[in-house]
Amino acid sequence: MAITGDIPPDGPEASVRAYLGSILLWALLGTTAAAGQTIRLDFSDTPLSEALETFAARTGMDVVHSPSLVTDLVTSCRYRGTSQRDALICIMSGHDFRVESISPRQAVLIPLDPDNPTLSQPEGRVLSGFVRDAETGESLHGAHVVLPGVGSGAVTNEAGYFAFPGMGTKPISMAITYLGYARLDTTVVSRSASGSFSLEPMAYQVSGIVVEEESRRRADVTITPGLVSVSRRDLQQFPGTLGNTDVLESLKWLPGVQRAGEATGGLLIRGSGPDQNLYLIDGAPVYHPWHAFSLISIFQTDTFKDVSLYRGAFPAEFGGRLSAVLDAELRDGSRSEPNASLGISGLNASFLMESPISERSSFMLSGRRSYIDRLVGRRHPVEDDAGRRDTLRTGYYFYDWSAKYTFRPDARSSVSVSWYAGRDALDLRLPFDLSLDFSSWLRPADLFFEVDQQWGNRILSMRYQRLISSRLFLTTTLYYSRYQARENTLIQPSQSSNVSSQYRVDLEDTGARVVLDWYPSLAHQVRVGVETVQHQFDSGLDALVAYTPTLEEPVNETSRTVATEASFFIQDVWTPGPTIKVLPGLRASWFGSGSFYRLSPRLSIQWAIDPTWLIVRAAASSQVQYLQRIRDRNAYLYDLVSSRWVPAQSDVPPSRSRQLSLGLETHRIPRTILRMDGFVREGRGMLLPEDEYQSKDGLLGPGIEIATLLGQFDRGEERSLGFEIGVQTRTDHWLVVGSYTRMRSENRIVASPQAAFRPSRYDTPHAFGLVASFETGRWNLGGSMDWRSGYPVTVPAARYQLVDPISGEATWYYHRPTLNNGRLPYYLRIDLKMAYRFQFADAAWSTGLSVYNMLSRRNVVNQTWDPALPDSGPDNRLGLPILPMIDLIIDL
Amino acid sequence: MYLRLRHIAHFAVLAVTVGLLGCDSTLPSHQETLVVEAWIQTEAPLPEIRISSTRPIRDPLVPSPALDILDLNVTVGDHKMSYTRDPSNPFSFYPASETPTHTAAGQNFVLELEAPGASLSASGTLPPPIAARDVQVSFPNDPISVVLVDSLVVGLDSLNLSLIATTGYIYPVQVSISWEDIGYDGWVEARLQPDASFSSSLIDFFLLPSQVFPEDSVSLTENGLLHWEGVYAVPVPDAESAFPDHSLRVVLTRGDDRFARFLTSRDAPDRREPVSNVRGGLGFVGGVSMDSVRVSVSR
Repeated sequence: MAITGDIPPDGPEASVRAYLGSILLWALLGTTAAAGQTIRLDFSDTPLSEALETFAARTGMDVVHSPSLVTDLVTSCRYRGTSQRDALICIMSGHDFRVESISPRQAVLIPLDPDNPTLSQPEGRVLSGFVRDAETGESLHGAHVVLPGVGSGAVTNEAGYFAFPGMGTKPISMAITYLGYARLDTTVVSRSASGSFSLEPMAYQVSGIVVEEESRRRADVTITPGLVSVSRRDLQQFPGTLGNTDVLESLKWLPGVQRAGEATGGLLIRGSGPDQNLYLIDGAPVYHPWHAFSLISIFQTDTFKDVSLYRGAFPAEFGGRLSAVLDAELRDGSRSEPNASLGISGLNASFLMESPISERSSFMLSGRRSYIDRLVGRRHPVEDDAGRRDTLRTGYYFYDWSAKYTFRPDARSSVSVSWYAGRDALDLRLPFDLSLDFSSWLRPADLFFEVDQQWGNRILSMRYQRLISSRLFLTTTLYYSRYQARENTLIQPSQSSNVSSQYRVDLEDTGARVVLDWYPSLAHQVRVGVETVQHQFDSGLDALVAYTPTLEEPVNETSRTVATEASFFIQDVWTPGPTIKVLPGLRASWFGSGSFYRLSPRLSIQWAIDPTWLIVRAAASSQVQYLQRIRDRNAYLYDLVSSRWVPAQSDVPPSRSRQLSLGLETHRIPRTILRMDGFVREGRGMLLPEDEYQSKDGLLGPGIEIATLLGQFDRGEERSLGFEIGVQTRTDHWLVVGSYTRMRSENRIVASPQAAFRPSRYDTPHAFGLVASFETGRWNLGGSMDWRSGYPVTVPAARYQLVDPISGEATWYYHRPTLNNGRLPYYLRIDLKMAYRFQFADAAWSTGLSVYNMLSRRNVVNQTWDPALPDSGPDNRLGLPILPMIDLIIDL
Repeated sequence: MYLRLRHIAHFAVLAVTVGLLGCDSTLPSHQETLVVEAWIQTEAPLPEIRISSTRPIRDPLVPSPALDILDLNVTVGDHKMSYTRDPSNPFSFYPASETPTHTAAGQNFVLELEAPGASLSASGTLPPPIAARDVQVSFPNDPISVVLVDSLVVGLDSLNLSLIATTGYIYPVQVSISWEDIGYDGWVEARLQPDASFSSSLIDFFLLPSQVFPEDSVSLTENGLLHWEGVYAVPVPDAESAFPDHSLRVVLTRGDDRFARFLTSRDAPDRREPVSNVRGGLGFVGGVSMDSVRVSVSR
């Protein structure tokens, strides 16, 4: 905040070279003792440390200092008065120190450099630097940098940068920790503006004690309750999906996080909907982060260096979603030596390569592609006995590739260009009589269907980072994100009728973000930023339903909307004391479609009562979401695989949510982190189906215009209340992660006459997850258990009959007076995995066997009732049985 | 290093606790609700009213009559008519007075029902009358082959990918009907009702035996009439079968928004129940105008 101290006009000798800094700060400090009390000091050759303790005891103001700095120093001083400042100046007379206040009741003693007075000025030396991976040279975001002698700490930003302003020029001991890396203890003697500090990667089983300490440090950097920052090394320990390591699948094991479906579906975080999460890759938003009908995500673990998940209360720098933010950074590429790896799993084959290009640049390139279409074949020329020919198609594949190029023109700047492109493509042309006899498909047919569906994302992100001065760090990001989906269908179910349709959805974001980190003092790290993004929504439908050759129903509709969103935020990591950190923030946003202005205040507090015994975190936050994802609920010809995002507009205001959360964390059990979080959350303005019972039941619906689509939804409210427990234990051989979530989430339609809250679609009162991994020698054995309450289901309460007045036919119906009044049976699944590592042909090999649903328990994933059947119970739709998968990875 | 026994015990206690707390809910209890069905037509005598009650879902599949109806009456305009139960049919209620009450377009109506512990009511307005003008029928010379699919359910989670399909033959019959445009801001249901019905999961998407639509969305013919076309299917055994002669009834029904909402929500009984306009009960009490034409369809 400020540097203070001056040469007192009437003070003792002008030997205290302190400087007039912030008058405000001195005002905060108070020039008088509390309540005007008189301060009496009388020291004669008293050790300085003892004098400072006496001063603290009599004034209530703590002067933080390194014991080594005041060893062997004594002071002689006699003071009687009410000014803390004058009393402190009296004590420090004759010593080359200045005092910097970091809070009204706390100050830091900083040694001066007698040889270079300018460094001792308020704009003097800032101890700063970049923290990097010693092997690859990649910057490490979230590393914890501690100055034990000063009692201060900082966390590196996205570029791995940290700064401690107001440091003297004497050598300062510093410790840097980052999970998965060896702790770096060093003494900084350089006066240079910034340095580079490299951490050595470390195997987990090297030393339990170090691991334990690092995990504690890692946990200590998260001010916001609910934030989970996970390194790649951690993610690789978690089980993935069907032999794939997958970031989003790994995050499922955290408390309060679950997948919507059994093996598919979006992430549900603290009772929210899947569309309330913001997914970022190098600062660019991703709108559909899934492959293979949401079986696996586009976040391939090996391609990311760091992933942070904010559950619920996220800082002001993030916005645009109500529930959670997943902030992922692609690997920069090794700066030291080339690396390459190949992998093959039951779903896809993949590669990753990274290399330095020059001393100042590096790249990373990775890709993967499913190969089942190569095994089955995509095109099948067929011919029947009559010589009739056709080409059937059985293609499905997905691919993605990521690339990042990083260039560092000098020690203070970095430029990176990140690219991601991914696509799923389903291409079928088949006769209708599908059966398990595959050979029967391959023949020409008059009656057939064609499905050509493609969907995917493209992202381009360019980032420029510049250390303007040791106190100012600039990050500028330009990004382009595009989500595109195509659904083309041709169905020929009879010789006289058919339907053909082409449906497209395009969503483009073009945005710019400028963020400035400012390190004004030890007590404050200010981040301020602006962002503007233009959203462009396009969709179109061109369809023709031919009931007979002369009775046709053509549909030709297009929809196009452009909306601009602008936001400004400011937040401050304020450290009022060595055990307390406060993160206040404010985000102001404007949305052009409807001209909405919204303010979103945020506040997080961390109080490390004891770093080992108890860390308490609390947060209150308010979020705004201007875009909502909805799907047509009537037509089969569109929105089958596409996601439609619609912007807020005059008659559909943006949705808002507020959340309070409180978290406790302890490291009291050796090598174990135990976290407990509670939260309460409420949201308004989200879109809920106007008719919950409506589902796709026709070829065509009301249309694709946004206004028409919105007509199928009403504004709703939601609320959730939850309690989470998370346990993580890591030893030399074991990694165990357990979580339990007790939560209720409910919603209601505001305009409904019976507007009582009801369980939301994915309300899960109890969820328990357990992951265990044992590693010894060449073997890695792991297992996981997923147990949760069944999802809500609407159970009929009675049955009745209606008679059609025209035909006289009677039809039975179930009476369902309340939605989601029942629940599916509980869900339980146990997966196993074993892997074996070996060396062969100068490469490191790893082969693994994954078993999905080891017990082959057929979980009930949905229930339906047929009212026309006597004494009918529910018809259960069952989940996947046991599925073994093999994978192989080669590190070259 | 290995996990300490104490840690394992902690996990075990947690798991047991979770198991005990995680009971799932059971079937909701049944509370009897009255179901009212009344179609009050414009320019017609007051109709029969059908009243039944809901049954528990485990009970036999037979309708349940409403046992005690204390009072049932319908008021159309200023005229109130009491209803009484048909001695021969426990579900049926008729006007108590033998003097027929004729209704007229634009009249408001109210149905009121009192029963022990229940009070039901419904209201609406009678639409203008509708009159079918012209019906035309066409069909191909020969039957066409179609795919007959039993189920279209495809689930990735359950690996339920099999579609059992066979090939059959039908005559698609295209029917057009027209009626006079009076500028009514309401809804119309046009329905084709042949002697024998045909249904198959996939082909049903390409048949149009009935449709509910806003009347102002219908195109006009050259004669200034409103015009609708639909398709139904007549199944035949094979590709050589001749067109089966049959009778067809074409029905036009006019009503308001609630009428449309009821009709469009009653086609999926496995998924939902129709949207009712009866306060305090179930069913539908609607004001409609109706006309029908019966034609013989033959080659």
